[in-house]
Amino acid sequence: MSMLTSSTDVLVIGSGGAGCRAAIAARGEGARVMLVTKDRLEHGGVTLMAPFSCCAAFGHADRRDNSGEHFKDTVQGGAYLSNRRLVEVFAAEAPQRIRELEAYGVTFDKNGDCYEQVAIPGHSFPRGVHAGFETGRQFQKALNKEIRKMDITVREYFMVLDLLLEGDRVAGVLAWDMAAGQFEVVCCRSVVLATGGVQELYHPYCSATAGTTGDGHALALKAGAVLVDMEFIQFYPTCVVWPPVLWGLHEVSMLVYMLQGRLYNKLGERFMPRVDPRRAELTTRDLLSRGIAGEILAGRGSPHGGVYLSVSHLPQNAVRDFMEHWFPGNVMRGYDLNGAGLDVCRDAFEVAPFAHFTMGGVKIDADGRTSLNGLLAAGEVAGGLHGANRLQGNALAETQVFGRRAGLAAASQQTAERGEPMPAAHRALERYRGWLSRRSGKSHHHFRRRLQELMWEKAGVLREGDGLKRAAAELYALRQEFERAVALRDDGMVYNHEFMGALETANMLDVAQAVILAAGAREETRGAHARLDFPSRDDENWLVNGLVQYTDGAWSIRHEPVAAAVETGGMAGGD
Amino acid sequence: MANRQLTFSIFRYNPHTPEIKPRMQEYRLEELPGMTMFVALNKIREEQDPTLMFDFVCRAAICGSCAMLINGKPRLACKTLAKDLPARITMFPLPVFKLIGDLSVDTGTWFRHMSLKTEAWVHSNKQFDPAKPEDRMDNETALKIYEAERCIECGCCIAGCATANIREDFLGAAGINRIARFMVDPRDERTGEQYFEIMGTEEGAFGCVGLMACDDNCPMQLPLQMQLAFVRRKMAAVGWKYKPQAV
Repeated sequence: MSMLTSSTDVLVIGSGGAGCRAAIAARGEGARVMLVTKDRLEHGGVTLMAPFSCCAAFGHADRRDNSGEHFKDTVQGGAYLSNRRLVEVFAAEAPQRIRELEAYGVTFDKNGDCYEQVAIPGHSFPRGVHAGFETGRQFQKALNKEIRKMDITVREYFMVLDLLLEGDRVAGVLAWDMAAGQFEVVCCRSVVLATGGVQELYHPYCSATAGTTGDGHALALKAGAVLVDMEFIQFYPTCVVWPPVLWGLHEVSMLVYMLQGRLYNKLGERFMPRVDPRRAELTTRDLLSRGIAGEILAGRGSPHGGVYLSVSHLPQNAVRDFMEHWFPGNVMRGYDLNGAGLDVCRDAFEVAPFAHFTMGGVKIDADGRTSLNGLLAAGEVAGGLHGANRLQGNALAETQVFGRRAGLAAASQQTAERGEPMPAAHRALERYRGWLSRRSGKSHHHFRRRLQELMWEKAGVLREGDGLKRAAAELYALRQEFERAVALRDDGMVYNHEFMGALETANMLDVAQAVILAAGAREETRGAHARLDFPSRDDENWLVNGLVQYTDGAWSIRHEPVAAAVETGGMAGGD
Repeated sequence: MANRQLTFSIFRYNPHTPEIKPRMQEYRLEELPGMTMFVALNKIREEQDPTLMFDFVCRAAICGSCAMLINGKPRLACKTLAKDLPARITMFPLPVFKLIGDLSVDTGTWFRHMSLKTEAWVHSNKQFDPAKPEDRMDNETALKIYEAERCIECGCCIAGCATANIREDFLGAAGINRIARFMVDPRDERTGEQYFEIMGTEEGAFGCVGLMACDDNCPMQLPLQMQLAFVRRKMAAVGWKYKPQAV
């Protein structure tokens, strides 16, 4: 197998909102930029999935709103674990980034000169701007257009396998060019990770795209970078598991929020009042997820592994009128409820919590710099902004604020000479050659499925010390077996989907280790991390961030105090 | 009632192993309630044949990755239900695009070419000022742009297009829709003559022979026929050198 080399100044991995914005920023500074994606520019990334809101404190709907208020809400929503410096720049710069997107061609919903700002749960003022119900796609398309306009090298079907270090500096990457069917070393001055989250760990209970296999998280781990807050995975409480044709549809939450829909277990018991006597189903996302998962775990779930969601307590004509107004023709996000054989007035959906967002990620400073020289990160792959829980509407804005900042910092990366990290590349290659040449063994699907079951059962919505210990042991065995036994039936190098799947599965195994380690260490319940054996929040001991690292073949976790804001020097927010 | 047994006849060919000739391979699968073609293909790949190549990203008709010919028609696999099909289902990759292998095609190269050819970005000499609000846009215009941007770039309109299947350089409904989006956008400062250079040709709006399969096949139900009419009217107006009435 031959190996090509190429070079650039800035290499951006991932073509979602953060990656595209980073590439635009770096190119704007005059750096040579290569943007790579394992899929295609038009289709990859989870940004385009975001239907609705992007929060920014314009104060157009309520003049009392400002970046200070957005700061407070975000810190409170994150249960006080957010890196205050990140929140500070995020809240301050989000409005500018929205305006910029408008110049790129997004058509936001507006009233005259003002953005239409809608109320979003968790935000004290109406703050969500949107472009119809396709905000994410409109963002992505506008960014793609800028990418095409600028002289940015886009490599599609291009998967990065390892970061290559020279001393303590990231000097390039080992990649696989699927179209050419060759391994390639890209030498560069800096690398920006913008690869998104790790939700595929929980498939089929995953509301994100199939590519969220934690590739960037794994690249950073393998290179020895520090990850933060990895125990925090947000679950969206009410995603459809039955009827199967609507699998994963989460818009049914509208029936809860707007029609006071009710949740029942298989005994016909309305269980949420037990979890939150005052708000019942109208409680926060984390409590709702915990309530539902609790019923499923206790064996009181519905036949298809969820609980029932029903609005049959309401007059049928009231439900029909509601549906006609919000979902004309009973069509929800392109899915035809009538075609699914379901009458919303009478029948219940079965719903369960699905992995929705990864709060944890590579530890960054306000310019996207990580613990490794030459390595930057932005968007969902980075950790720290959202703390223990993300507020709705903060993800899209995050991609823009930190994508731009990481791109600028990457372009300014001063390195005297570009290195030749070839020896490191050859060492890394041995592993993959082993998989490709193995004639008998097990398909990577086998490992992925087992990992996903393990994560869902033991490191999902509800966790518990013994379960996490068992999960760690099982995962250790699974990782060992994977390295020993994973084999491919297709040993070609050109567009080998099976090889790509195996690479992703390997990344997932690494990331799972980080999640389980961090979840086992945090002996309290906070935000998206719920421990059955430590059911309350413990501010005395746990107002700290967990840092996971993999160095010299060993995993470690330590904790450090939450970073303070720079402008105010403080930790204020909420309360 | 017992579930149906489905037979999938799937096109298999890897251009990089040309010694193995293109062939149809059969897989059998029990139909499950609400099964989509996406679910079926994943079951086949996970349980029967890990070498089968096809694309998907979002699994929810948003990303436009999984378009293919299902019983002869360009469709999204994730939106096509088994219950709407006979028990025997054939699958081919989309034509026109470069074949990657089996059902997987490279739409990326095609769309990049189209984007560059149509210069699909806002042409403006204005410097961005983050402190200043953007110029106003009336609601009708904003809605027109929004509607055109609903295109998910899946390639169904191109694969089903007779002209695109004959002419390699035809920009197709996706390209015409893209240009229509910029024509209505006041932020784009291009003149009618500049658009004419791109679209007033056989590669552009005048290559279409009006069969309108694009309009039938679009999974997003975009009004592609209307967009074609709009762009042609504009181009004709520029071509004949007179100022058109407001459209």
